[in-house]
Amino acid sequence: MRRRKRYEAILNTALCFCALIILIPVFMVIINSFKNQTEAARMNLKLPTTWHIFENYKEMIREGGIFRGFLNSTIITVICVLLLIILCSTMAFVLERRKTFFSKLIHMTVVFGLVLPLQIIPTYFVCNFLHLTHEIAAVFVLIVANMSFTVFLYTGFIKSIPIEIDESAWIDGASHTQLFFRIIFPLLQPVTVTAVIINFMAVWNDFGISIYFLNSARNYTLPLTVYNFFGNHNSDWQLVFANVVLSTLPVAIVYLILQRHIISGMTSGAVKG
Amino acid sequence: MHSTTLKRYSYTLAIPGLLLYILFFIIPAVGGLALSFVKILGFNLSSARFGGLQNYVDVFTQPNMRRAIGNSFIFALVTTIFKMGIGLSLAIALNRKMALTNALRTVFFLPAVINTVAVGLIFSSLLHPSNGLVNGFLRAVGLGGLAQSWLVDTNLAIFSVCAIEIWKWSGFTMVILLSGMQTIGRDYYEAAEIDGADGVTRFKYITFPLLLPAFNNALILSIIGGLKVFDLIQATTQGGPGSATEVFGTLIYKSFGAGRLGEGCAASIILAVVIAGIALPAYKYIANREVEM
Amino acid sequence: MKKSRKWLAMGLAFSMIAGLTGCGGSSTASKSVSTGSKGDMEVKTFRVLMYTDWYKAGWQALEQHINENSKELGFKLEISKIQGGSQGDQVLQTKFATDDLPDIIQVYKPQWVESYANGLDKLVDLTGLECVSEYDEKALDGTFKYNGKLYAVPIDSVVLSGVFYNKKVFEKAGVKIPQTWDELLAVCEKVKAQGVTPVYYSGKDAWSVQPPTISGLLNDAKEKGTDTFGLMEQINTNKLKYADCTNFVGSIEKTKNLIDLGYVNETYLSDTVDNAHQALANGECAMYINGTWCADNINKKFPDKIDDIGAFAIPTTSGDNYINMFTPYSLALTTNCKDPELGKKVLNYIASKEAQQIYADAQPGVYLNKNVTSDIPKATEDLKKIMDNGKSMTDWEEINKYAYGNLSEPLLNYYTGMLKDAKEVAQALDQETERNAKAQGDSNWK
Repeated sequence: MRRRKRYEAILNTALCFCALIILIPVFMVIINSFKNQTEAARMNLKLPTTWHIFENYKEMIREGGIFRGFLNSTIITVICVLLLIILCSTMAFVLERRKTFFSKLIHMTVVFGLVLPLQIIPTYFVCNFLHLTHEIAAVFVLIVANMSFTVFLYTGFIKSIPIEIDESAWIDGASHTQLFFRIIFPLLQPVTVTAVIINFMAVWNDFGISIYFLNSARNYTLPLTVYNFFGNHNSDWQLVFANVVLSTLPVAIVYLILQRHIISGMTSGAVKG
Repeated sequence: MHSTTLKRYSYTLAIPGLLLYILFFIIPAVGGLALSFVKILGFNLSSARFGGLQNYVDVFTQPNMRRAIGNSFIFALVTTIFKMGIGLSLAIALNRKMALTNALRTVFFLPAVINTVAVGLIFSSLLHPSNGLVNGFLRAVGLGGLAQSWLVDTNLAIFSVCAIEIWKWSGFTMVILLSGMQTIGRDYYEAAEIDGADGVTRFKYITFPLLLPAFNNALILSIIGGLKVFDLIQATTQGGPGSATEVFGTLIYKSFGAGRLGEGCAASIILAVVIAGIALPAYKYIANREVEM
Repeated sequence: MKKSRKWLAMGLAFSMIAGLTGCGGSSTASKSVSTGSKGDMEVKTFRVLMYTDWYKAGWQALEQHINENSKELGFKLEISKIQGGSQGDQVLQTKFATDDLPDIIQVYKPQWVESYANGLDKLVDLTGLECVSEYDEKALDGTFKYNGKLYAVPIDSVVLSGVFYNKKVFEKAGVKIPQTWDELLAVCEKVKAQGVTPVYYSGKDAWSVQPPTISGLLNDAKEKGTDTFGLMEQINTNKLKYADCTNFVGSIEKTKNLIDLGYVNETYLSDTVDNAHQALANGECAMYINGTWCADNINKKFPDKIDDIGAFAIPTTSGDNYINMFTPYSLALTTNCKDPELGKKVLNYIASKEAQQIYADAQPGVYLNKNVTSDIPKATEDLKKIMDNGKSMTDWEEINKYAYGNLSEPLLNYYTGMLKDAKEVAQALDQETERNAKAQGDSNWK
């Protein structure tokens, strides 16, 4: 027993040490967002000689158009994540359950999206051909960019839900939509939470796709706002870091809230029937 | 029976998603494929003419191609090994009820959430050869000899970038593996305890085999992510100094950047084929070893 | 029941398509020049597109001025910004290809539109604008005025590049401005003896290693009895190779020598342009070779140090030294503009003295408009004098068709030992030129 306790103590110390390695860079971001310009430019771990918390964040918010960016990011992220969940869960369900050659082929094609980099220029041509507004195009392309992963996640999980459940529901006279939304979808809750977190992260932080479609202060998302802000304030590192803190915070909060649910649903093989 | 199954799982449910996928992924992908066989002036589609495999030849004759391929494989291999190793260790260590567990799980996941550009910025500063914290620390504890030009030494830089990737994504791997562990029934362990199996035996014969599906997913995502890497390299070294940390992703970026549209498309198709060629067999191989519970 | 569900799903799919096209309709509607009917005069809104990095204090002030006085002027501006850099270039190229253009667009220059976006026919010929009389004919020729048409008006200031130095450090080391390369080396030696870094390189920002090597190319142009336009014309048409520009290869080698001799900051691969400005302002280094951005930034961040900074042309072996000039950006009217006559008036106003002065007041610099006065830092003044003496040439990269932005990579490979000698750097540039030219189907490379 004593040996076990000592083992626990060593383990805990080791874990805390690892946590420290993780936290030092994070701490650096936060502490530098509190400094004045010259001190922040040195980018070290020292505490600021004078604290500029209020000024820095106020300037960031006032000049960076961060509220607008925050609002746009929230709207786009919420729409994308909602649609991703509904579209991908239904798609994964049908494709997994049909088990025909054709459905397997479609499934393969969708998952192939994981390996093929998004062809952004042809995509841009398509959106232009369809006369999409920039905002709608951005939403659709962001959805499609994350679709393969989400379907991949869902299929693995759906595989593990016993087919008998479907059969009994079918015999009770449920239609296919009822079967899915009333019976299956609630069972998918753990993986749905996972998908929400990962897609939230991906869409919220996206830069590479939105840069092609969003191009005015009106529709900038947070990462674009940041970039735009840098144009005018290059090397005002204290503001840069304040911005990183402000834009990371929402994702961190979403993770904190949902993390208790993620643990039971992150992997496809989680529930082997 | 068969027709009921098909009716039960009618495509109508999947159509909206598929429609989007076809419009915004398949069509552009086919467009990309078509462009990869075409010579094109600027981005002007009307000037396109058939160019055969020339674009593919051009990809392979790029001056930095060999270095880029080498770096991509080093990156994928090193980060996969460490992300899986560290992720697995953390998952085992944190798969128990303890006051600190929840806090630690959050801490380890945190880097995955931080914007890549910010990560690049932080580490460029931490790894600066003279003012950086890492070398400063090494010198302070008398290990000054180990101080390195982490991100600018042409032989070392790619490994430093690997380390940053490992820092950022190990926690993510941990979370995938942890969730896999939650599904392993208590009864297996109780039975093992009765048989007097020690920790190592339990891991070898129970935890690991039953964890394989989750492990497989994490592994595949890591391999794909490693071979496709672009963001992190762009944020830390931009492929430099010179072309020291060039990877496949930065080469594609440069092809497009120089206006060589066809070549860029060809390169991204080659990359997709290579990744699929590696990831698919790996996935199948492990999936065949998964045990049914 | 079942049927209705099915219809619902179908309906969803259709409404999505309808949504797509419907939104498309509204988007084209919003694209056209919108009219507001405040007051007696119509105020039209012009959409302007530029890179984020180009929207600085000058544009900010000008945009504000125009939009506050829109009633008198008869127009307003709505400015959109996209990311700069090579990704931004791609966005712009795509926009040209898909005709998704605003009314007014800010680009590097008409040649860029021609060789990188194939879209010169999408710019309106501005010949006949009144404001042209306020500019030197020579200053507009070749860039803004191109193939006999005036494709754009200048916006923003000229950037001159040379060696920026800290006068206090020079004084302390007892050295004068060097005229030849050997004199420069002597200066370095003396400065080093004082414990100060003689020359600062900022290799972390890869582009910034290019300016020190340019002096050779300017001398090559001079030797051939032409300027950079003439030199690049030969290179763009495969009549000359970079590797055969001996002065250019020589200056590449010289910049490496500085490193080998220990005259450059040791951690130059990890240091940024920003570090360089700071080091120069604080006298931690004696010299830094870059554009007048350097003076602007020091002026902004260390205003009390700006008078310590001066500038001179990069010394060459012969002592016949030229400075490099980056022409201002171009503001052009696109064929998408529904009211080109008013559009021309807008550009005429922006390029006129009144608007340029507002821009210059907010963002001091060297402006092409002869009637504009600007309070510029001493270092910039030093370089302007050299330019006024006719010892400047337009930047080679701006008029280079096939190897834009490709020098820094082989250069850094040379510095870090991955390339063995200076000629290989020039050869890498030739290779890149050939690849791009062939990809564009240029008949000179058959």
